[in-house]
Amino acid sequence: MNEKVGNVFKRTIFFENPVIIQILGICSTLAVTNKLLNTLIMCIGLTMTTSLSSLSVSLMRKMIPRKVRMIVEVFSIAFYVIIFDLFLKAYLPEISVALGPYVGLIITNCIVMGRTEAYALANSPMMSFLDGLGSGLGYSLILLIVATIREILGFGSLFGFRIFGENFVSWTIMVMPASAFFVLAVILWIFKAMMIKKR
Amino acid sequence: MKKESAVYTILFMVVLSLVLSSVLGFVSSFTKERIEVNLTAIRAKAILEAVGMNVDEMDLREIEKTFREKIQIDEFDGRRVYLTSVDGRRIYAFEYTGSGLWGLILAVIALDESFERLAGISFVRHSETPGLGGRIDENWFKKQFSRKKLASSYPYLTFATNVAKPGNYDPEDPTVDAITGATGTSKAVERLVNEAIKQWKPILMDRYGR
Repeated sequence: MNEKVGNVFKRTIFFENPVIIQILGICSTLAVTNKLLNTLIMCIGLTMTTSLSSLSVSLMRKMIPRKVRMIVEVFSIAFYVIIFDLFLKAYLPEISVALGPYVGLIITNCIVMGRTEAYALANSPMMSFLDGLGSGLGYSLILLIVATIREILGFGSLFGFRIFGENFVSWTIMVMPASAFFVLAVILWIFKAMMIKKR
Repeated sequence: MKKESAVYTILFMVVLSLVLSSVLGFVSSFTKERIEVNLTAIRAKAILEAVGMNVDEMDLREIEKTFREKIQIDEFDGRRVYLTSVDGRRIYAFEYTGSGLWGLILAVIALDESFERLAGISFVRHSETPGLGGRIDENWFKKQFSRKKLASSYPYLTFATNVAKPGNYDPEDPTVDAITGATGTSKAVERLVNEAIKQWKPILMDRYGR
């Protein structure tokens, strides 16, 4: 299977976008998208983890015994997540506190394991890395859109800077995780409509 | 050795675990010091804030320095009290953990030398919803507790829920405004503050009393 590089990105970011097409990673989509800054850090963490764990699993793919392949995948995923978590705690302590347990939960994010299992085990390291990177970016694209909408309406701000005046009444529902369902559904609808037209 | 054999599988896992965990051990020892400094500073910041100092403009290094210079620590019976004076009044601060709506809240509560007035409170750690209960971290909320007179018996402090304007800054009125849209967290913090005072007031009076 030799895919073109451009096609990997088109596939992972649009036609097989992990969040809106495969509907994976919904838990974190609901949980960390009420402030743009937290979302951005979360996306960086996930993109780094998917790309690097896909790369390492692919590098080892000829040595991994079949019956322990999933353990090995989780191992390498956990490895990168712990490193990311340590760096956050050391260099961005306030964001680390705000993200709380969600960084650690990247380990259980279906997107990461899905990519290693479905792609990295059967493809070259370079392509697996790009596939992981693209999936991470696809995830980030949707999360950042959701977070932008939720922060504007829920707090009247963007990256913590107020963009509406004092009289703006913030939409409390937008701060709660459930609102991400509504936002996500609308985004899904728009993207699907766009894709059907393209095909 | 066959790739699917049991011996190879075990060997592979052992080697992989050794390699990955030694790298993690290295990264952890490399960041350990910084992480500890950060945690101490976050705590020190909350304590300074509770006793009534303005910490908004300080960076972590200044916070550490101020903490070392201004705060004395008194340890007895497994408890720890942070002592200082602000504007000539003795302040006694202590840490108190109580449950919030979603998880534990670690708060710092400071009483002044009369034991009838708060110096202030602040929060080290909590897991309340950002934007709702998480607003206990915002200044308008915390400033309400500054020099607040307490009622003479339990409940020492009540949270008002049906007020239009947020923030009750009258230090003589033992009432603070709760957070709109965060009734659960407000109730939890109200309980936490009152329980903390109920438990600590006699201890502090006993040790440092008039």
